[in-house]
Amino acid sequence: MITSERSVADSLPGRINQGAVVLAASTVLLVAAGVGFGSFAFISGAVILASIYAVANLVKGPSGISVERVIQKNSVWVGDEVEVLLRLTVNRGIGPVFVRCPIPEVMELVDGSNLFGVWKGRAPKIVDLKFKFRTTVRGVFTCKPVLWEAHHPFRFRTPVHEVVGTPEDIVVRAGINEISRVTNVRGLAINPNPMMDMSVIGNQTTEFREIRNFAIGDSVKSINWKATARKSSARELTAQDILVNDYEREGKKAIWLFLDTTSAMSVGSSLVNPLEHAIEAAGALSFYYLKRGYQVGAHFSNRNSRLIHMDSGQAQLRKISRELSELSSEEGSYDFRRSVQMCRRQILRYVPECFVITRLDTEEPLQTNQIPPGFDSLITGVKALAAYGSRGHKSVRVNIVAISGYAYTSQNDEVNSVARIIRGLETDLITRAVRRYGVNVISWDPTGSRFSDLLLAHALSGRGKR
Amino acid sequence: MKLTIMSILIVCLRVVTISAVGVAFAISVIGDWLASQISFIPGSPEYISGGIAVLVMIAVIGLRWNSSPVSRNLTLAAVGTFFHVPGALQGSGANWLNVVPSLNATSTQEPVFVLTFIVVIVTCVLGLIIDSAREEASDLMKRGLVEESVRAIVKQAVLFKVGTLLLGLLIMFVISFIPIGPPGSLPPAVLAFVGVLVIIIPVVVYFDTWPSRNISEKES
Repeated sequence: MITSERSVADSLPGRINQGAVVLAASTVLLVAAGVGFGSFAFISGAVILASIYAVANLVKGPSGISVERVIQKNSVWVGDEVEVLLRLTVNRGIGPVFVRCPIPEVMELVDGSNLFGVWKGRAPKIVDLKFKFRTTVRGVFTCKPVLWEAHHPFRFRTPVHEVVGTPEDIVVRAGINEISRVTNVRGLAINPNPMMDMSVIGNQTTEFREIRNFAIGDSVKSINWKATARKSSARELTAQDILVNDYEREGKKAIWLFLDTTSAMSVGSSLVNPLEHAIEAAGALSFYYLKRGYQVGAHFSNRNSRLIHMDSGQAQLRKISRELSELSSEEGSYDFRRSVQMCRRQILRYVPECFVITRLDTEEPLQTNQIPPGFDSLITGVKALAAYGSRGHKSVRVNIVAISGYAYTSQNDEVNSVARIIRGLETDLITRAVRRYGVNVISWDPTGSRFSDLLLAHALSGRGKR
Repeated sequence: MKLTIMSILIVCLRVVTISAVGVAFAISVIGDWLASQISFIPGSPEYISGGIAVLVMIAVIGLRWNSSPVSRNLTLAAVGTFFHVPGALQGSGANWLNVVPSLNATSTQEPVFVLTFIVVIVTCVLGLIIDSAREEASDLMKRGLVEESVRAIVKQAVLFKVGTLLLGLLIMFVISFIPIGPPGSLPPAVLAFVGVLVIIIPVVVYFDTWPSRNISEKES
């Protein structure tokens, strides 16, 4: 607030302070000197000081103060601006009134200030104050109650201060970068990402897909007689000439997200770090697949016992967003094997495409094509996923989104640049070694590109490789 | 720009204060006597005694340069008052110099001392108001208050304080014109007024600080 922290004895509000005591003492001394010396000079000086003292004591500081706070939105996305309105009412007294509306430290003031000063004159005063702040990181933040402080106009009394209202929570959801569609070309099981994949199982819908050759098991009702007649015109009809209408199948692929939230993901600043970008990536993937009807589930490493079960639709997106908003980093190393074990039943049931969002540059490679011991848990987990997938007719595809932790070092520093390049080369060795286990590694430098752009680039480059 | 004007104003106030103190001491009998004792400095006794007072005041200002506004201006006022004591001793109400007749060679008119002393009081209070305003403005700016708000608040506070000072001056003039009492003595109305003040002010100060003192004792 306006004054610094005071001790208990000093903090008693509304009491006269040193200035008033000095003025009173000076007056008394001058009066005594004037009477003693019989001097009108001292008496006149005393009269002036006494008049000031009398007025200062008669005038009361501001009182009858109330502050109402209105936060326009209490659930926002990262980067949104939140407007806060304050209505200050001062009924009595004269003097300055200061109002402070605390905002969480990580928020950025964009319009106005959250500290206000208003001079209260003789008439009652009602003032509307407002400011805006921008949310910078996701999470659940608490706006502390509003503080006001009223000063005596002469500062002859200690300030009166009070905290009003109750704390209010603001939920800031992780931002989602929308991924646009790459192409309309469809195909079977194109990887690394199932963006354009068709479901090959499930019931037929009424949505027409294509005309294709008859296959054993096709219903007679599905034969397109006109197309068949055209194809076999002027010759004898054979089984190869029969064409059937094919329709889209119900059901989409499932996606499973694994998110590393260990302390290795917290390098950098509180605003820009791998964890925040991992959350951004997880949000983008969830948004994209859920929007297209896919089922998405997730497991975050800081909540070992909690799974976000497979589901589809907007409700699932909200659920994932809420969970992502509340994520925080934890001590220790990422035990991917344990995470896979936790999600075993979900993976066996849905055989999903898996995305593991973590860092691969936390360990140094020992030798070429050799996985550092620190990634044993990761490799074991990948093997376990592959094992679960091989039980059915489908396979579990594993994608690792490897966030570059060294990208958060200073970009302008030459020494850092060299270190970053060397580290990048070392990480490439690890990446190559990990790929040998059939894992698609998406290396991401968050300072260089958006995740959505990177994902699309990988989708295009991966097309037709299988 | 604003700060420069304020600084110039402060310097002007200090010059006026020092000049008033110098004049008061120079024309006083004791100042004259002191100057006559300093034989190694040539010149008129008034200039010597006035010069001494000016040098002391400048030294006080220099020593108190970085103090808080209250103590800085209070010290200046206290030293200024001290240099008015010789003039007060030869005042009209009770001429203490009759005790030492050798020092009673000249009698200076009391209104001159009244004027210089009022100048000292007014300039010191004005200095305190300006210093406090500057300090308050700087404090509020540091704490992130918008410049417009700071300016408005400080301006209103200064106007309020200056208004109170003018009111004090007005009251003083009104009281001084009350023609009661024998010639050459303090008016009884003034004496009654200051008598009431002497009783009331300590009582008010005592009871106003009572709760805080009780808390301090309990804490200790």
